[in-house]
Amino acid sequence: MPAYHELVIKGDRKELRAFIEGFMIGSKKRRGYIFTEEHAFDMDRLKDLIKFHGEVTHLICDTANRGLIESGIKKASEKFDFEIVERHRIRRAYFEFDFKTANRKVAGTIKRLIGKMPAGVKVADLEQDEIIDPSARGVELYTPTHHYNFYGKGVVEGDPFGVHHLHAKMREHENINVSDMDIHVDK
Amino acid sequence: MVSQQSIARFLPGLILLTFIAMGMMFGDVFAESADHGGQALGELLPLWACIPFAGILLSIALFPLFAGHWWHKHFPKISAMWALAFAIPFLFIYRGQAMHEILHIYFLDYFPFIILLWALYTVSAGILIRGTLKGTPKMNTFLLIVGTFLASWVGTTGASMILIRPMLRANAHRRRKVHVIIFFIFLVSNVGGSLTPLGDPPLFLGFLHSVPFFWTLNLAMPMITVAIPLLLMFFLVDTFYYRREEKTSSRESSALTFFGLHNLIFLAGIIGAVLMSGTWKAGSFHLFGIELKVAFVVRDALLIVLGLLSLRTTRKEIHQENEFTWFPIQEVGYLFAGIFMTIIPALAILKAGSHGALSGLIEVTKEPIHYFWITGGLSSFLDNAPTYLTFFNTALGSFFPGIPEVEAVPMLIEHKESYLLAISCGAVFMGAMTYIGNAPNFMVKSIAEEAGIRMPSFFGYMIKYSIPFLVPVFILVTLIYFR
Repeated sequence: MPAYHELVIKGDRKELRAFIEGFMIGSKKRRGYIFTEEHAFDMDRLKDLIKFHGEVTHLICDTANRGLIESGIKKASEKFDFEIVERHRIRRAYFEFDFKTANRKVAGTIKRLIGKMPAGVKVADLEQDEIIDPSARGVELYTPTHHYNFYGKGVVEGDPFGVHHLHAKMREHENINVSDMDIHVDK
Repeated sequence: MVSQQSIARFLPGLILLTFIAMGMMFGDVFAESADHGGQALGELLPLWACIPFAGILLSIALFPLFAGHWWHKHFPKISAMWALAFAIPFLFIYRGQAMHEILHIYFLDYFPFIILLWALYTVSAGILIRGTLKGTPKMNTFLLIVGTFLASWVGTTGASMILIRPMLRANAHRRRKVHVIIFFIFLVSNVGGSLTPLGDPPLFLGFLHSVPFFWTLNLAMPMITVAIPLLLMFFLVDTFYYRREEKTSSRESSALTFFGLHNLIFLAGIIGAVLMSGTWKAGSFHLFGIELKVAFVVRDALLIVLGLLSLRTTRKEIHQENEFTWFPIQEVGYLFAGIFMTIIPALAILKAGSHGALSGLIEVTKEPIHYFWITGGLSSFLDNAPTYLTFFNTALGSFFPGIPEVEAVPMLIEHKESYLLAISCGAVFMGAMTYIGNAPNFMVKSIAEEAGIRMPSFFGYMIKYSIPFLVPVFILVTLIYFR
């Protein structure tokens, strides 16, 4: 897996976000970074506030962009009062998911989705079961059961951008529940 | 989820314990009853005689949630267990009187109830709508209005069965459609069934107990008071989601085609037969000591004939596309056989009014507002048909204790009509509060899930939908009609 990093940057969130977006567009780099607060990452703002005595922004970026972003922030720090307070190398990003459907077509979509992971991402701890109850065919009023059931759970883990991409895709799926994403970093 | 093995281990013990306990307790009553000869049954029976009734209602409410597949296989045995837990000691102690009570409730309630549901189910399963409408907010609201109206004439189960698939097809392209199904349950599977005794089983039970056929039209204003705000809320919610979704131009509607429309003639026949039984004074006869009205027997015979004619004249493909099987009627048959057996002590005690063991309940339920919310609250979690019957008898026992039902019901309507209105509205409307409040709710949920929609959990349904949308409307109904 290529290296990914988390930069924890102190400073006004809106200003920082505007600065980085503008700076990266100006540098002709439109990809390779994510603001975690905008993408369903599990964040603890209160903990951050206590730890860093002020607003911080968590930014995930690849190695190729890390130097560029750091130098940009350094240049802007005098004017905007930005400060990189922590830098971590990301070991893995992950999220948990579970699914349940009584529809074979939907089950097929889920199977394809979890069966074909993009490079750098894998499904771990996958538990899935497919149950067919021949006695439960048709309509019921008081004893509702499905003839076909497909359910399971697992963890998607890997490089942050791949995990983020898959999270967005799985979250769109009505029959899949996803947790917020989280990252493990080298301390 | 409770494992099937643990239930299988636990259940025989529970059955045995129930039988022993009921037998022992009835033994004491036998001794007591010897000293109280000539007293009405309802004054003698203790409150715990209602345990099997509570047991069967709780089984229907809880087993589908916690042990669905196990319940699916064993529900007839559970129903029989609760029925026998009451019937055996009851027959042993009260013998002839007990047999009379059992035959009375089966002849006058159970058989007509099952025959009507069977006929409505059979005939409505013969009507099929093919084609796809485009699920815009206007179209969805229109379909809900049609379903709400239809439910009073083909029953909430029939209307749900006819319309749920066209509704699902119309919204197949929509990303957010759970709310469509939820409002379908609110309006078509529940509220819509309030205008005639055919609409919802509680109202038919009222009809069987001397409430005139057209009296239920009194529910029209409360029903409109519930339906209009719900339709309005639905339209706003649906419009909100529809505007946020990307429109797929490829989605075209195709004309609707109706099949099996000759079943409407049989449906009219069912309405006519039920109506006839309420107006035709053709005398009565006795069978095993039970007085049976000729008009009622003729009605039931006509319903059977109409159902058979529908079966005979409807093409197999229509039934196949509607996924028609006899299983839903078997469910109703088995479960209500148990319900009607076990409800005997509850009804007898309630009829005894302040002299019965449920005098506390009668003292608490004094005003229409109490009847509306208590009947409704219980109908939310227990089946609404037996709940209706329970509070119908509470009102009779409260206001006209000891007076025969056939005389007491017209008096109730004449002098205390708002009470009957409150009971009827509570039972019909609040069946929508949970999945287990009314039989079609589960059916619609199940069909939607099989179509790939992830329906909310039991509590999710309540927290996200029924409490925020229904409770304010029920408060409005209370303020207008039952204050």
